[in-house]
Amino acid sequence: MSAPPRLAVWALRWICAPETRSEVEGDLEEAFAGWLASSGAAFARRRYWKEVALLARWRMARASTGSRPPRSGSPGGGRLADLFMDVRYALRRLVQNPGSSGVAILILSIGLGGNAMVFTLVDRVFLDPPPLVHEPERLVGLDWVMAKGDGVDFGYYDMEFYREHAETFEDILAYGGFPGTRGRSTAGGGGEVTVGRGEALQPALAWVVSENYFQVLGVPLALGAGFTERRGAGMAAEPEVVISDRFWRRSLDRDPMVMDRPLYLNGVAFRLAGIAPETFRGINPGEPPPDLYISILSASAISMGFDGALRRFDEDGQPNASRFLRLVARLRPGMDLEGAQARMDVLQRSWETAFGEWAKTVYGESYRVRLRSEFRMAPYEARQLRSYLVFVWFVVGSVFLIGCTNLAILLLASASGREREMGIRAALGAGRSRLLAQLVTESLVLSALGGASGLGLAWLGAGALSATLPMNGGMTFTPDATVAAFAFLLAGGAAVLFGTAPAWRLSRLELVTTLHRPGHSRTRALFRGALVMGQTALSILLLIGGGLMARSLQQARNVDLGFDPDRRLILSLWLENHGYDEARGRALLSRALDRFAAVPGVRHVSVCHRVPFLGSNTWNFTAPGTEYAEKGLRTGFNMVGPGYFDAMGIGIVAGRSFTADDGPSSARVAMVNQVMAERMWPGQNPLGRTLDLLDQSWTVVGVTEGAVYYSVREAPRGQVYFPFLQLYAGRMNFIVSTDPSIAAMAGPLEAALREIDPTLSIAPMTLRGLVDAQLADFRVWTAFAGIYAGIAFVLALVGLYGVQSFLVSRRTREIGIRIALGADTRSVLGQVVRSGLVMAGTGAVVGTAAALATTRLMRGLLFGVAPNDPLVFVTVPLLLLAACLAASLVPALRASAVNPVDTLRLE
Amino acid sequence: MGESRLREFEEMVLLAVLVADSEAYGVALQRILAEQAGREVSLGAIYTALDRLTRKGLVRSELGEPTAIRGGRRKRHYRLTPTGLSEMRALRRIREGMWKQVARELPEGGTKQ
Repeated sequence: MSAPPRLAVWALRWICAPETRSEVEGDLEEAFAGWLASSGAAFARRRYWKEVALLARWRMARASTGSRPPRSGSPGGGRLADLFMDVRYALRRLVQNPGSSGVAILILSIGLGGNAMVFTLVDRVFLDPPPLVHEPERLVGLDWVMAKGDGVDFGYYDMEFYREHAETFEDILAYGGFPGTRGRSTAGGGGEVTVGRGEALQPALAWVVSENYFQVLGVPLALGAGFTERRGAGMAAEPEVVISDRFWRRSLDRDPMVMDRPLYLNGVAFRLAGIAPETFRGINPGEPPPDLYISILSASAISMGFDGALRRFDEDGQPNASRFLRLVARLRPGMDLEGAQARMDVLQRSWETAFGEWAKTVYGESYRVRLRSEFRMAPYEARQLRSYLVFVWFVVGSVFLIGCTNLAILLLASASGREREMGIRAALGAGRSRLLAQLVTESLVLSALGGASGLGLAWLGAGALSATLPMNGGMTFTPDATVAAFAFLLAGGAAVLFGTAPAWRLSRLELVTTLHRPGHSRTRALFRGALVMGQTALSILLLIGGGLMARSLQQARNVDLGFDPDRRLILSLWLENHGYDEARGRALLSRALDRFAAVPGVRHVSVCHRVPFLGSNTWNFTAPGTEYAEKGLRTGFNMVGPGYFDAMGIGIVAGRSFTADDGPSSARVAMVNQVMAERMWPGQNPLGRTLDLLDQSWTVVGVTEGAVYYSVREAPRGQVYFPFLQLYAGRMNFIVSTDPSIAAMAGPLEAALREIDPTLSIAPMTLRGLVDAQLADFRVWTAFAGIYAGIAFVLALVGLYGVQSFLVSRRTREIGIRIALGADTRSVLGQVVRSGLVMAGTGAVVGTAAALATTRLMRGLLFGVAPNDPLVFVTVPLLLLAACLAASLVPALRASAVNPVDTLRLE
Repeated sequence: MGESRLREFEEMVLLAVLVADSEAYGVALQRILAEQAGREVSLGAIYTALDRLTRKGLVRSELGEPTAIRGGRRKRHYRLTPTGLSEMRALRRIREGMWKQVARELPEGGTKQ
């Protein structure tokens, strides 16, 4: 038998007043049986719903006119009708006080919007599974856990081994950055593969992926059959690439015929194996979405030496330590993480016996492969992202709390103006629960409006905030249904936070005294005082945090980098990705240097292998006759051309710089910076000493000043320089210092290079840009913390002002009497201001103490400033107190201007 | 009272109450209106009309005993009050008197006004 739709029955129960429920339910049930018999179940259910819906209208009409003899409570009865009336009443009140309700909604939308914004990011980065990936819960990421530092990168040979032997995995995929362009080092660098031929060259961001990448993820390609399955290292017969939908649209005009043509990457023809679906952006939210997915086995077609990176041993039989791939495995159905980990540990032991010696050389003594369910991000990326979000959320959450406190104060103040209204309602027979319901409804209506406009703010803000993520995931951040639900849940919470206290207070008024004369109580004053104190404390905490960040930014901007970042242009050229071997590469570099030097506006031009902040090489240098003769000193090194130090603005302290004479056939020479010199040869003259590299001895001919290569947030590290003519690298950067009078240098330089080889693509950047990129998160975080701390500050002041003026208005009579009895203006003024300062001062002390205890946690975000920086810790509380003084002074002045006769006549 | 005038729908409901006699409650009235007057109306509309008629003092109602057929729920039975009965009698007199004066058959297809 079919029954009435349960939800409709439930709705009906909610609609009906208790005393009509039985008859109405009975009628509907009987009617339902009739419809069921005559027209079938579907019709009956539909009809039932319709009847219930129409009954709601009847209920409303009944509530507004009233029919049967009045019952206790509200006329008409029925919760729906009550709610309807309360909402209408609340809206009317809002419209009647547009000023205060506008402020309230603004406060709420800032607080709620900020939180919804952060939640959008959290939701997208941590909670949402990546789009299109099939059964993401069966995917696990693999980590190397070593005695010294963990790694996430594996060699290609590792993947082959696990694919062969791990029976817990259905399959395993690998992905990584195209050589030399890993991860963040691409920031500002643009594309590292050039697509196209002739004039129409397009830069593109490339990843290398294993051939099974899309199959393992379960992501169907939008077009094309995918990579050809191949096993074993070795150059692919025909190189293959899959392109992203974005790249297809942006650079190939969505041309479907593109599938039938070869795609030229760095001048080499690739077979287009497919186009990834539109919403797929790779699996790592910490990496920019790639344009090209190059099959790992095809990469050597355009990157010389890539082939070797795939093998376990190089030509000389030396172990290959090149690890640049991340592995993600798909567990077999029914296999859980613990089980898979146990099998993995066993497998790892057999791996050790098979490759023991080799593994020891590469990885050291103890290591283990750990499986993690978070397959998208490496642990350190997740940590970084999480700490960023925690910081942002703390700031936003505090402002939200301050906002709620403010609203509570506002409502409390307006509540005392409504005591009479409530008294009259109670006297007319409204029960306490009824009054409470009405007041809570008012808060809820306010919150709902605030939530809606906050969601709008989040919509605007989430996109901007996502651009500030420590790693730009290139994801779209639009608040969705989950976020909306979150915002309204939070709005409900806010309503409870700021609405309960005033509502409770109002609903339990003593009827007689209220109607007779509204009074004030001591506990209420204490409660308000506590609210103001809490606000001040929270805003001091935020302001101190913001102040520390601002000081850090100031420090970071003024830090001496050891080089001059202004008017410096960098042109990156990955020679080996364009088919240049060493001989041709050298020829190209010297031709290009000549050409560049002739371009008007160029002051100095040189080449270098490494550019500050974009990756580094280190080597374990040994030097005879030093403490590091045996064990070596791990130091960064760079290959640079003649004139490099002039081009960079790095000072020479002793000896000479490299010249064009330091060529392949002359004596091996090196330069060191002061940091390196002092560590390797403390207290001695490094000139004429030697360093060992590649079985050769390199004589130190010059000492330079220390320059920052890794991060603007740290002091220069040791650095060794070699002449590029003696130590070649296939990836070079031109560094050009330019005349300040000439603005656009990149174009002429690029044109000069294209004259030599039209297929070459260079990515121009400025050294200043790289420095700024280093400070970018910093600047954004500081601005963000500053804006929110400022909002918190203003809110706290508004709250204090509100409480003060409310208190003064309540005490007008008392003040009038005091003045009438001979108190002078100053004593009245003093008393009001004092009460304000006591509240704010207590808050300031509490907030400063809390800041002292917690700013340590910010250490990672600070630079050049101690977490308990005295300047910030003294200035901020003083500033806030001064502002509080001002906020108290206005109401106090008003109070002191009271005319005693007027006030006494008032009542 | 401002709403003493009977509306057409209220008149129909009153008639239905008379037709239903001792079985005049919500669904029964709905059924009568559907079957005899060809009017599909919602229970809500009927309740609204009954509420209004009650306020005008034309009908009164009482709760019946719980019945098993309706899942143990009560019916609210409606009856015309003496005022309601005399109002209906007066209406009927007026209408019948006027109809008698219409000699000819009305053309089919409805009248236009």
